[in-house]
Amino acid sequence: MNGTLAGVLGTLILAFPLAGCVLCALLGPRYGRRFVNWVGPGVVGLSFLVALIVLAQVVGAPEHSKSTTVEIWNWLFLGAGNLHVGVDLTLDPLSTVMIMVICGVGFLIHLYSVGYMEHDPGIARFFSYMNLFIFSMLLLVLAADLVILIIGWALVALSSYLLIGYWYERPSAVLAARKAFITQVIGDVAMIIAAAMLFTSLHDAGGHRIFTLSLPTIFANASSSFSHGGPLITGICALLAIGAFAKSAQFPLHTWLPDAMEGPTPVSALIHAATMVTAGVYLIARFHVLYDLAPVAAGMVACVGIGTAVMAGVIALSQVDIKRVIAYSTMSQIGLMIFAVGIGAYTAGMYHFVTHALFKALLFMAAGNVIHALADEQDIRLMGGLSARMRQTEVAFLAGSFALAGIPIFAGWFSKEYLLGFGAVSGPLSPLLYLVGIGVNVLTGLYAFRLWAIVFRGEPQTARGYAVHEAPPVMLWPVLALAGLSTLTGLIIQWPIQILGGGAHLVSGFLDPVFAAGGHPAGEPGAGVAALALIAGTAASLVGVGGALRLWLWHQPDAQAVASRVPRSLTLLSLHKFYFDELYDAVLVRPTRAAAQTMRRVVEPGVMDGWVRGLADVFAGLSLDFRSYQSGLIRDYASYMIGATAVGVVVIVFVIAH
Amino acid sequence: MHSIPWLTLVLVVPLGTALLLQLLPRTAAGAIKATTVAGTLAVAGIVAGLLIAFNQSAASSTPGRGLTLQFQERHSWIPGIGASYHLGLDGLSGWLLALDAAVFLIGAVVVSRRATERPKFYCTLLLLTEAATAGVLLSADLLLFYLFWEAMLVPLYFILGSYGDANRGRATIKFIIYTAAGSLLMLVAIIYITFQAQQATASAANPSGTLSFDLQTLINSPAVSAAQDRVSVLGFATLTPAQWAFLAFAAAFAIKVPLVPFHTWLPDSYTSAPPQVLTFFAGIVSKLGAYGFIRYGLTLFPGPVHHFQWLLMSLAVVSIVYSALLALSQADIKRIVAYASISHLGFIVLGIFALNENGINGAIIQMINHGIIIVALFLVVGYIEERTGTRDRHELSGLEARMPWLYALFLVITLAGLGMPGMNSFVGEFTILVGAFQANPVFTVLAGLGTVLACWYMLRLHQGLMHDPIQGRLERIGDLRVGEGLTLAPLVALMVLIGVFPRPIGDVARGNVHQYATIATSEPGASPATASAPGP
Repeated sequence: MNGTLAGVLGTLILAFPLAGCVLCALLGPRYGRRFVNWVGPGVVGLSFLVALIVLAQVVGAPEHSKSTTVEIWNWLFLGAGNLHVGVDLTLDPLSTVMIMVICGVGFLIHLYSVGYMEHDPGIARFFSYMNLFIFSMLLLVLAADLVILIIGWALVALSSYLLIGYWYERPSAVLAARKAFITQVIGDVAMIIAAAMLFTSLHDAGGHRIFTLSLPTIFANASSSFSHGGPLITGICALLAIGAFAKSAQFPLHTWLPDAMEGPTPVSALIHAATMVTAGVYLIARFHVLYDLAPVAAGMVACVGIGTAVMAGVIALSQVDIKRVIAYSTMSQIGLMIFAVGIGAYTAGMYHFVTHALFKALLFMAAGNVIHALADEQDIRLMGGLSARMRQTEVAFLAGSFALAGIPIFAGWFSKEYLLGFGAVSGPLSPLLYLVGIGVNVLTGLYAFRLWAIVFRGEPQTARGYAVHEAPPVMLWPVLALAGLSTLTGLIIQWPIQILGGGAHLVSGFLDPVFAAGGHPAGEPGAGVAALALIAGTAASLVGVGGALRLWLWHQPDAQAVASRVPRSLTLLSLHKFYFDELYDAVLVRPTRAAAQTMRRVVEPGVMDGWVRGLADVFAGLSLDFRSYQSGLIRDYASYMIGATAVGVVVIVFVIAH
Repeated sequence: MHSIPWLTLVLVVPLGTALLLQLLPRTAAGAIKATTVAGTLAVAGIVAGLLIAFNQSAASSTPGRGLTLQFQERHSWIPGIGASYHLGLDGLSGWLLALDAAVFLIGAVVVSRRATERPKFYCTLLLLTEAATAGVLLSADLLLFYLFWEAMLVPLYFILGSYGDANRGRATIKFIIYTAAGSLLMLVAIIYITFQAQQATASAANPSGTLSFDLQTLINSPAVSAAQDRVSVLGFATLTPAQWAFLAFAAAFAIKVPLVPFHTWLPDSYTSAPPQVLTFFAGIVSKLGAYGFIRYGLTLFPGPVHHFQWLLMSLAVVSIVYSALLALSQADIKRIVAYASISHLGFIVLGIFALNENGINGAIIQMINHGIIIVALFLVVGYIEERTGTRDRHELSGLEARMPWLYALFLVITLAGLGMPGMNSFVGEFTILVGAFQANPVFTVLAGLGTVLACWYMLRLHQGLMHDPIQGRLERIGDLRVGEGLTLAPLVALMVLIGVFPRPIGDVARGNVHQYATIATSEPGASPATASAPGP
């Protein structure tokens, strides 16, 4: 693709949602709901059309020129030898996959919002924030300069903050928004420091310093700047990973995501499931050249990913808020993706990102239909028996659950088993990691079908449950479209023949060249290993689903007896989300507040102002002392004169004498 | 250009306007305010013209160790002691002069829109402050600089002492004595270094040497750092004379900025001063301290600056984190902003004492940003106090429902205040952090902590006022009036604009910044070849 075309397409993709954001904010209140209902989703649809053109261009481009980077304007230039930043955009297979998902899924969710938010008075503000999010996310994935990427990265956090706190009269939403934002800023600071480290350490093969943070330049000079496995590159990668963990809700920066469910459900679907939270996966995939040089940091990423996947899966089993169950499921699935990019299976991670975006957005929107029908009820213990009256939503929800649990032929099955197959050949720890991955499959089957059984089956638990209605078409059609995609995407991408052969499919054929540059450290699993992994993984998923059905659908006594033997401590851990909120409150929040209060009460008045006042008091005291001599009496002054003269004479005599 | 002394005009226009005000009757409030706005607008116009006419490549095309000034005017002032009326503009003072003109224009506009006691007195003082601050920025002669530096305190004393809340008397005296004490130390140091420089020029033909207060002369006088014998205090050999002199300058500037622990005048006087005073008091005065560090600290004391780099950087980091914690624990929203201001100023000093071009450029960008943001924050706080009658954040909540326009503008201001990427302050902070990292990674990481705290206290302020259910007695308050919105809107627009297109700031500043960094990293008398900055 030539530079001008790439520049025009990239700018257009970004310009539409930005224009939508401004239009909704400034004109929305005046022109009303109809106007924003057209503008909000419309601009995302337009971006999607441009994204399709980009896809066609990138697919059609010859093998060696699939990646185009173009400078839109020169952002900052501080002179030779100093910082130089350009607003650069890059169009390559990786960013193309991202923009397709962002605009495609984003468009469906915007449409859905028209129905979901139809009674909300702040709709203009809502679509303005949503469009801002789409713009930020697109900027993040299109940016070809680390500084611009950080801007997109932070703007994504901002729009997430605005949307979590959208219902600003709710104190819980306000707190959740602040928590999410501050967590994100921790990640941002880590990335800024990583950028500073990169800036001070980059040099080309000839040893000349490099003064830009342009991504292609960083990647091209990575091997000349850093030694393989050296402390510097490990530090940089670890800091970037902290940014990724904050955004992708991975341990230890994961506690904001469940609280983020305070936002409207379409927000949860778009931001906290399909796109924003996968930015961490994108970041590590984008920086694969650096991670390939830092095996320790990459290994840490993989361990954090798989650990978070297990932890979130365990928590999801005991939550009772329908959105929080899905949120923990998101955290768990993203853990798998982070695991994948950590072991170098970048394509597998991105593949699971695509299918996950489809089925997770679907699950959230179907859950949104349920919540909407039950007048904002989110507690699953008060649901039940909805299948009779919400048949289409249930079918869609089931399609999503099948895909999530990894039941054969559904999209999630292809991507997840493909991903876990890499786990089996990822190095010294691979048997262990693979077994943990299989365990995650069991957990996924359990919580996915627990949710379905409790929400849709059994008897309605409240009177309202008997009077629900199916969602209106504008909310149903996007859900059904995603249900279709969640069912078929894997089949389309990956014909059965290719599964058996274990050969390249459309996604890996498209993405693998991007990651080939750094030397793909994760070896493809051989056909035998892949087939074995596929069978074991699928069996594990089925075990989980079966267990869930026996426990929560059929209420079988023997299954419940097994479940009752789970240690009480584990149940409590799950219920209380492993006590991370309490831990952070005790270790970080309270001490900081206490320190702040001490500063205000003790240090500021006592020490900081104290030394100034002490100094002032000394002078004031001196002046008081001297003032008493200024009595105005002639005899006092005369005696001072005589005394002073006497002293003077004595001094002079002694000085002269000696 | 040579025929018209533009820089002198920048000083004369506010002074002349102040004189003109004296001809108007005390009661003609409208005319007085209109004249003031016209005067400040004229200054802003001249300054805008100067920036447009500024030759961006003049500094980079001048070789050697020196400071290139433009639009220079030099007249003999007190020939007996070598003091001259020497004005000049560089990339640093150019931007600060623009900020100066802008904040006084805003100050005049704000005061023109509200009832003020004794408007003639107020407007006269405002114009005198503008002239003095502009003089600080324009002078290129140490004595002239000192004159303006002290002159600035006089109108500020009357303004702070006459307008403000019940604590204004104490707060004003604290401010004046604090800053005057710093200035006196600086005066001693000025006299010392000029006499040192005079002795260095002594020759057979001119045994007593030539006395000069001219900055460009003193920069290249090796005398200041030549005296290496340490001054003994109470029998201990301590520091060289140059180091003592630098500390005296640093005291004056650190108080003005202010750096912790010299900061306690600021929360008191900012809290007592009304918003229309804070537009220029908070908007420009603190930046003059930072300006002094670059213009006089780095240029006159290259050796001591390196010797005390760790000290100033650590004070900067302490300022950032300590004030952030204090901002986090205040209940008075004006005090929150005051401490936030100190925290942000810490970043500026951190950038300056990175002693490299990234850091100094970042500091300049951040000085402009700080002026814009802090003025906007104090205006917002003022609008809210005016409507609700309180500054206690416990008594305020849910204002978004009643004030959607204020909410939107305040949101952008908050984001700028917490260093949001995409906003103006990110440009400065990022550049400062990169520069500081080159100098000292540990301090940089600690300053990064301050960013997280900034996010916390700014959101605490913003959300505390705007979100949660509205309190009953606030139900009846109204949104911003058009005039108030139009006062805030240009500031908010600048926050976004600088965040998206920051390049012009660097383009004007970077030539002179290169000179400052070069001077600060080389001793006087070194050959130009060794004086060039590192880099290809």
